[in-house]
Amino acid sequence: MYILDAFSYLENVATYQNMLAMLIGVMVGLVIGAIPGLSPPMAIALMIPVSFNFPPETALILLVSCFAAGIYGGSFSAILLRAPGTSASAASALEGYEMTKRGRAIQAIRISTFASVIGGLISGVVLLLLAPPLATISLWFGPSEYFLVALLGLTAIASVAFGSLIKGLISGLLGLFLSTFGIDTYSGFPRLTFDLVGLESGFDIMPAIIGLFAFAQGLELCEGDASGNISGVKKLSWNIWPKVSEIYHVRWSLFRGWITGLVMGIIPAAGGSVAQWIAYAWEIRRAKPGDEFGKGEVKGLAATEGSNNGVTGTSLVPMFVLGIPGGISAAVILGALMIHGLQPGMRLFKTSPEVIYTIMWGFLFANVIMGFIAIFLARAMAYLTLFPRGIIGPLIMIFSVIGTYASTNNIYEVWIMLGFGVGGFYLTKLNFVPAGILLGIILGPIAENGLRDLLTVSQGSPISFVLTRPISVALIICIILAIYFSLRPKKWD
Amino acid sequence: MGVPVNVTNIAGGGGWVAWAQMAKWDANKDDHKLGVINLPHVLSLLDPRMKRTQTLKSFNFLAWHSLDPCIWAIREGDPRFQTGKQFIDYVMKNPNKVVMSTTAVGSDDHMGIAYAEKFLKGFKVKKVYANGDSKKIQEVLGKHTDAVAGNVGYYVPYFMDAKLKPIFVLSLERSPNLPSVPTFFEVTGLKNVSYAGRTLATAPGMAESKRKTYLDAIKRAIENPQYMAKEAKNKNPLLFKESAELWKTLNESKSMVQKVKFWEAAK
Repeated sequence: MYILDAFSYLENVATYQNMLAMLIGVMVGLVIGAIPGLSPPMAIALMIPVSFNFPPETALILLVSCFAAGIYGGSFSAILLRAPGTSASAASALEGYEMTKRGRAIQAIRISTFASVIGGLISGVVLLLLAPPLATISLWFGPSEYFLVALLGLTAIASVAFGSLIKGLISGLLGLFLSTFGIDTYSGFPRLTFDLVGLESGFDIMPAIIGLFAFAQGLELCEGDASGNISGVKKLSWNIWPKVSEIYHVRWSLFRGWITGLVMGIIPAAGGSVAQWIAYAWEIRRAKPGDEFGKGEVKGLAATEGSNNGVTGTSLVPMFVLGIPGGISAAVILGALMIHGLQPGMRLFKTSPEVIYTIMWGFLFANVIMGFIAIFLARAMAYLTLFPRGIIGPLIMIFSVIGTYASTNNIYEVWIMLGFGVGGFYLTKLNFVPAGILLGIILGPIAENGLRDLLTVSQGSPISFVLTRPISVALIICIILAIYFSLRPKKWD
Repeated sequence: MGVPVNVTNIAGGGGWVAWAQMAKWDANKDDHKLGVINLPHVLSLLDPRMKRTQTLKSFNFLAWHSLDPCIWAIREGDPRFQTGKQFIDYVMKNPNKVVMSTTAVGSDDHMGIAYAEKFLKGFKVKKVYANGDSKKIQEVLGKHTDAVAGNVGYYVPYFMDAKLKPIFVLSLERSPNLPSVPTFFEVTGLKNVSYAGRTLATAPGMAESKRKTYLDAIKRAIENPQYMAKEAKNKNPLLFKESAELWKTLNESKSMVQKVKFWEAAK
């Protein structure tokens, strides 16, 4: 029934206002997403006042277009400069930037664009056709599942620790330790805040990402030959259209990335930042002789880029159907939905189907528009990799400071970002793993709160409680397999 | 006032990064700034563990803007309880078995539960904490917890969707948005009053003439029929209070927090 309903509203999307809204949303999302610190939620929030002038469906099309493009835009700076624009593009910086350094920036952008656009489209189709049943599934995820999803994510630390497993694990533990800073939700106790009001919220993800990746990268570029460039070549190939052969080469990586994104999307609060790492670790565990993970392996990039846009559509499922936003961007869109007089929930599908399905179609079309605009934008942005390091390095550091302050209006966060930046720079030189620290910071609170919630709801018997829940048991099996495949010696090692 | 308003969201410390700045605003240099202070969250200044140097007097409160009472809700069709009375009876018979989803310790939602546990003999529940309503709603709808503490404004859509059922409003009078739902006071005789309040403040020590200009403008805005209609649609109950009336409510809120001492309840 939902499927027939969905198709009957297809024509509604084809008005000039809706197309204009998609175009504006995509362009704003791409530009803001590409600047470290300026995140998709900020782009959406900036567009809300503009949306007041439009009817509800057009207004929401503007915002969901901004969301989809913002996630993809974050990958530009991650791939070209190792300065992720969003938390959902951090993992793409690992393989993407290594490809750029080896003069393969355009290939990385090609794969990223294909993975993101098709991932967004698949996710959009799932949103359009399966939203109500998927929303029910999202309710199955409770404390034990959140705890286990976080543990599964943490197993990725072993995979991203190229070179030294011990140093990778120490990095992960450092990240977990940093995630314990701030006021404890369960007791209200200020943990490790040293009476500093700026530490009461703990370490936010964005300053950590900007510091560990972007600012540290700025410092690294300032070292050595200032006249050299990032890509090490003088000219870039302009063959921006994806080749069938290279897509065929990464087909299974793309598939796994998209699936990871779709599944993680329906779990409220998990989102792209977790999905990327799970997809990336999955690829590394399946590495074959000849694969060069950590040195610009295209399969790793295909998986991370597929997963973060695979999340976008399905993360809107619990928001539209249950009124439960799956992440910050969805929460801002939910606020806008209500400002426009629409109350989320199944009633919306009954009372205003023309609005809800038009928005969903708009999301789908926005992904197509995004692909075309991105290809032309990518050409311009890839030029950055030809600029002298002595110019790009300081520029990245300046944007890191501006972006951090602009996203929070909080000077404490700028200091925190600088701390992560300088710390990340030296830790990288010592072969520690910034990605491990970041994983600890992202997943630490999910694991801690999940475990404490689990102990509460299980009435003190967590193990027997977990074993009665099918999704939890499946997750435990995934964790065991992940650890096994991460630690087993590879024949070609 | 006929001038554009520039909104700056200052993140961090559950509002305290911004509030610490507001307490230090200069009456002349910062006279163009207005700030929003949330109740009871700002009253975490009473928590001795936080070692705050500010008191309520540190802020130049201008007006009370809105007051959204807390509610408790359960799943529609829960066979164990469908009314507030049945819920209380069930909890009394099964202490520490019922799990409630609530916002973090020190929030208005937690304050209502802490009050009930402190003053309603035999009432003991387990609590699962969140930093926002989405997690709470997911938990209760997904049958991971048994009940949820939230605010009327946010939860009305879920009641309209017949997914959740309100059992109490934590105020002395019934909410106009939920006239059929009894208050906690009606069912238990205890004055368990908890709400999310929003106030506006300006720089401490500001000249009275400037203060009055702001106050008049705020009053005009809150009483603007278009604005009122918009807020009513969003179920956000506006409540304009100033001067003595404003401070009376602030002090009542402070007394309530001092009475509950949530920091002890959280141990």
